[in-house]
Amino acid sequence: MPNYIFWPYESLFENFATQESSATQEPQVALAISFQETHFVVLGVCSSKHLREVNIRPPYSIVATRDVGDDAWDYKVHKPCNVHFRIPKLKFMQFYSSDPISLIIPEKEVGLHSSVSETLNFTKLEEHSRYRSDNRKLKETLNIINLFPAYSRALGELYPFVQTSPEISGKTMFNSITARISSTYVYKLTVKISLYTTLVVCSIASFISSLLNYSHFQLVNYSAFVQQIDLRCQQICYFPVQYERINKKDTIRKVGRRVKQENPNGESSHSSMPCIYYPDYILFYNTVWLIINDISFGLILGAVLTENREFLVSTCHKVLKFFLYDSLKMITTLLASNPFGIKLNAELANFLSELFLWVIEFSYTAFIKFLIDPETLSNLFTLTIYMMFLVGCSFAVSLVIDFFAVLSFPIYIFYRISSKLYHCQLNIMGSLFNLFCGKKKNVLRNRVDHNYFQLDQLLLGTLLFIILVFLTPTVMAFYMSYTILRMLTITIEISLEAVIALINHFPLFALLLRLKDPKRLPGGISIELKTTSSCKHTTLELKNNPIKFKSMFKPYSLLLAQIKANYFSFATVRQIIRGESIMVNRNKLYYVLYSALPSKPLGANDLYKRLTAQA
Amino acid sequence: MTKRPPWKRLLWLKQEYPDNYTDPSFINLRAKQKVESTKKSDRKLSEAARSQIRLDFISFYQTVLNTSFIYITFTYIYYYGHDSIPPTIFLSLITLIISRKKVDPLLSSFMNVKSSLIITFAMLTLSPVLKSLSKTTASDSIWTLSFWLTLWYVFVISSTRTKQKPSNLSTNILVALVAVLSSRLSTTIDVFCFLLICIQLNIILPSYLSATSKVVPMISNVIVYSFLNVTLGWIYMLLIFLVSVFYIIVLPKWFIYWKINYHKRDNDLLSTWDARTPILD
Repeated sequence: MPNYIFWPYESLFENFATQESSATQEPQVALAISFQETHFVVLGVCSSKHLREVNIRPPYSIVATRDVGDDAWDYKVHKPCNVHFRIPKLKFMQFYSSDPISLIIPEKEVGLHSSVSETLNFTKLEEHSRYRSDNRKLKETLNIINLFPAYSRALGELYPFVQTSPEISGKTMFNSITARISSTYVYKLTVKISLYTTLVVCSIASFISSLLNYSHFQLVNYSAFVQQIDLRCQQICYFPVQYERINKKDTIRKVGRRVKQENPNGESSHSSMPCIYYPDYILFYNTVWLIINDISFGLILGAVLTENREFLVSTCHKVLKFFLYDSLKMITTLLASNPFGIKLNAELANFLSELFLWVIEFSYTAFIKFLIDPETLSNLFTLTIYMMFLVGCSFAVSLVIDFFAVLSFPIYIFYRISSKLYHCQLNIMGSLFNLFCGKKKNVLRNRVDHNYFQLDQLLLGTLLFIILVFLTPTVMAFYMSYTILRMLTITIEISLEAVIALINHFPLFALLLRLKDPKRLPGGISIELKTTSSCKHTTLELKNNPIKFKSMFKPYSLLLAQIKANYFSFATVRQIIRGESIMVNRNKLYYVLYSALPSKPLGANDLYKRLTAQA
Repeated sequence: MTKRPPWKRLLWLKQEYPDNYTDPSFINLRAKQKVESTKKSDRKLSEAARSQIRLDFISFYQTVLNTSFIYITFTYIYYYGHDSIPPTIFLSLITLIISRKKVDPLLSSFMNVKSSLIITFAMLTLSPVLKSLSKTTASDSIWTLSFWLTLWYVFVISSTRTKQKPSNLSTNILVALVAVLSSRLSTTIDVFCFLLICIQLNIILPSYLSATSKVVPMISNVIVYSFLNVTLGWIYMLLIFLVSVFYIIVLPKWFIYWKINYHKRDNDLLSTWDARTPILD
């Protein structure tokens, strides 16, 4: 196995000869760092004359020398293999990673894996010992590369003569100003006040969230508006935690300490990686941006709505009245009088249609009439518009969803009644059919056995069976028409909810980041063969693959798949035919979109500890 | 060495015989069949087998006659519009008398007071529902449905009749057929009487009357042919009568002839050696 030597792809290492060594006529030496579990990473070069006095100690070693005027390096290690890389700018949050960066927080990642069969071969491959050791070695090396400036600074401190890559100067005008401001008394007071304000706001938000998620009566499941409030509260709760994580400054300092230790262990290095907080950075700014977007959308839409208010109110009134009262009534009366020439049982059809008409009339006079009254609608519009202006478009849309859910409640009731009827009838017919064939279900052995029935049992069962068979088309006609209505309302609700989901969870910041600087969103690495004529050794090049768009939208594709499985699949059709009611837990459905939030908000006490420790 | 228990032809028993054990009775059967198949010239059916074939043909004819009583009753009530109560009372009385006369331990549970009461009241309550059940369905569909149900009923009852008790399925099909037909009747009383007559004629009475007696088939024949004479005219009646005579007298002879000369004996081993229905307990 060749020894891989990672070279920074910098002009310094190429042109070093022309600057210094040409004057002194001394061969150059490349110094590299390597631990037990890593490859060599070249940190700096120096002239060999400096090394006569000092001893190079273990983490560092000389990997190559080059004579003056010579282009190629002469390697000291067995079977060398060059890998060139560009130094990631840590300041700009660039880094290499063998695994794609996760835009989902780790605790939520478990349930989001793709299908098992797809990854089965890959996991088998991963379990191979050689692959594992290689992979581990590469990961550790990537860690060193990511912290390249820190390591080279540490080297420079130890051996001042070594020429390392030029460091970007830390002290700027801005830094000095912030340092001066942070020492003032006013600043400290402001910090304290803002700390306590944050704590109060967070505890209120977490209290509201826990109230809405009260385990005996989860309000979140019933109302989109409540769900929206809950989401915002959880986001508010999580903000300080994210902020604190992003601004952890001590990560770089740890590196210096690690290099000084004679025998460093691999575990601590991973925890000191600054790049594990970058997803938090992205998620934090994504959320902030989405909230601002939400409010600006709200402002625009609110303005448009205010302009066309009169027209919208009257149209809404007409449309809602037509769909929720006139058309429902029409369908129900139509069902009673042989729809499409299908001859239903007149008595039962009349009875059912009268029952449903009664419910329609009742619900209309009880609340729908009041709710779709132009005056109420206009008030509601005012409320929605104000909500849009104040807290954002998503709240207004969720309010609309709730309003619609209340209005379509009669349809839901019809659906439930007819599905119950249909389901019961199917069940009874199933067992009576067994009786018809002279069979009976044996519960003890869970099979259908032959049984000789008494004559009265037979007669009664058969008569009931015949009656039910003849009544089935009637019940089915009612059931099917109300199921279609119910599916329509569900579709409308889902499409509105999809709008909210887009507003709330769209990876906007990540997308823009991907466009601006793909290195900040690494989706793995690739090592390519570099074709250079001058070099006598194989030279590879380490490259960063940006994250795929598909994986950025993974929660969405999962949500789509889930919605499809819940509402528009063969399983649903089978459920409908069997008469089982289709019910979906709203909270469960949108769980995938909460991937950027922890499942439990942090308590105020912990939050206080974290924030004060930071300060 | 202890004597082994005799070999049984049951797959689920653990027996002390090797897997390739062949029972001597099987070898005997095989040998007998071989002897039979070689002597082709003097193959003959026994007298018992011949009479059994004739009886089978006659019993099928009887079944068809019985089934036709459903339509006779229906025509009597629906087409001619006669009052349905007197024949019902008359038939019920006959049924009662016969059931009192022949107290069979097997049948006493079959037809006791409780179940007869339940049947009567259930039919009384359900007859208005039955009447309105398929009122909107066209008469043509009802006739078609009843035709196929009748075919099914005749098939089931002639293939699965055991020990004088009609099978569950045949009873059910009969009730379904009657229920389908009763939706054409106009009043609830008609529906009830029609149901009652059909059940008595086809389910209860056949189980009391033995198939060997000669009076009952004569009566039913007389009733059926006189009814045909009244409704369809004497030409059709004569035609049907000739067909049935042909069926009863000529067809069994043909069948016996076919069985002697053309019947292949491939399935004989399967039908005689293997059990027809699986033995489970």
